[in-house]
Amino acid sequence: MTDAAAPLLNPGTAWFLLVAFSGLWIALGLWWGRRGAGDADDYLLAGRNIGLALSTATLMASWVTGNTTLAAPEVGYTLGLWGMLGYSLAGLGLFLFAPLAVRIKRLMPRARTSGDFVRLRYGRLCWGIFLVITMAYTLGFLITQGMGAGLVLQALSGFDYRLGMVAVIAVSTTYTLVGGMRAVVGTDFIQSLLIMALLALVAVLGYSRFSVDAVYTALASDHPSRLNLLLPTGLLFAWNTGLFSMGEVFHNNIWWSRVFASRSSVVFRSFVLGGLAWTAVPIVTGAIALMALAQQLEIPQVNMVFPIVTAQLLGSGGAAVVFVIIFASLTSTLDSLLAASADLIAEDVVAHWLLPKATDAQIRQAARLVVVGLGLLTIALSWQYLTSMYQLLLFTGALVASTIWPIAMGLYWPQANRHGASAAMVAGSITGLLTYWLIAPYCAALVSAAVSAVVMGLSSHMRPERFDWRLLAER
Amino acid sequence: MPIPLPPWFASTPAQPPSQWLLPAPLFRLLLLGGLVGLVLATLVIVAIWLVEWRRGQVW
Repeated sequence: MTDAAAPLLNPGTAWFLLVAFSGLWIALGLWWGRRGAGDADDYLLAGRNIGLALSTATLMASWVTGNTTLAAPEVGYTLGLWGMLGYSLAGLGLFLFAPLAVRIKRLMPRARTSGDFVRLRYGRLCWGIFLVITMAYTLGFLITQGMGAGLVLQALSGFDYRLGMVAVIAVSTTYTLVGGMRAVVGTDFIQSLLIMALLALVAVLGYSRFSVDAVYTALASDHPSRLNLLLPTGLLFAWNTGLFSMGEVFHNNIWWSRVFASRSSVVFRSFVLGGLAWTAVPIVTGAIALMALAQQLEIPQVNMVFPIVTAQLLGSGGAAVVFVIIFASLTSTLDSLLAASADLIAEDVVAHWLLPKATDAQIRQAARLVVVGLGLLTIALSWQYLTSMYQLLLFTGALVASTIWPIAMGLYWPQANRHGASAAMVAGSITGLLTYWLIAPYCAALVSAAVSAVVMGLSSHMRPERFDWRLLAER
Repeated sequence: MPIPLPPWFASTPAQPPSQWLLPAPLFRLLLLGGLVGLVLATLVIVAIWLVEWRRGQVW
């Protein structure tokens, strides 16, 4: 059995993989960074003309985070079927955003960020509230990826927590800085293919040694709750996951920037295809975790079930494959977060607030500074490992769920009221946070979304606005 | 995606009063379907990229 304290991968191999893939991502970032027109639109949105393959792959890679490769197997292991299926429901966020993405692309041909939409649709007060919410979420997301990087590399290869954390953040920051969105989208393409192909390889090799039927028989005999379709905790998890993913995708500039960066003709298909491709990942990784239950492998840390099972089944080669999958997952998510946040701050805070007359070159320079600043901030905030990563995400979930209905209604309903949108975000966030503290953290997103929907719907019904959609064509 | 996990995940779920176990053929379909889906998705993205690359439409 695996010793929990011993790294799964030989340190020499781990160092080789770290240096090789870090060098590859940075070299590709430099190469792609030299392409294009060199203006702010090119740096922030890769020239607004990316095709279906890159658009789909970047959505897929950004959505496969370190959590997907570690937490999805964990929920498969602990909840069984509903863990896998529930986690895969997070693909709903991408599916449901597909029609919105088409409308955004049509209504806002010159926009750069989700903040542009909120500012033009609801005015500056709502825009300010939205910026606070989205930046709080983004910072929480960045910290969880940074801490996750340190923890996983430590467990996999024995690296010091801070070394792994700094390495992953530094690599992502470097190639995002030099290549902008082109580097992010280009590396995302390779990272997503690596993740998908290697996950499929691990699953095929795993099931060639321990058949699906043998797993089913062992589960039905020893762990029937894992096959139970009426498991209440599993149903609750699935419901929460769908809602959380909608809140994340509808508001976050990661997804809006992909809409603006993609060609109009591919936007809808890329979100549908990206969602479909992503949906398979939690099922495959969860299924690998089920092998651990069926084989009665000792799992000292349940969130490390995927690396442990893979190393047990496939030896050191399996551990190396897991290292590459997780390194690609973490860097592909961090680069997207850094680029989308730089886009948001350079466009919304610098160009529309601090320096209204900022030139194209100044916006591009501001974005570069933000990438570096956010990278350093993430390192600083992840320096001490907090045991409350889970709490941090639930906390931010209470905030982002309040933006779902103001965004969705604002895109389709001309009567959606700007004061109602501000009130919905504030009321949803406050009640969500109160629920987090006073009732249960896990109900926070649900209450936040529900209150926000009621406030938005009632206020817009009582004092309807007549919004002119043509105003969204400005920037 | 960063899905928060509830604290009760640390423990094995309690046996619920009612059970409806997924039949073996559907279990096989789910697991193999997920795997086939992942492989297909990979091949489809590569195929789309090839077509776009030949037409000069990647970027």
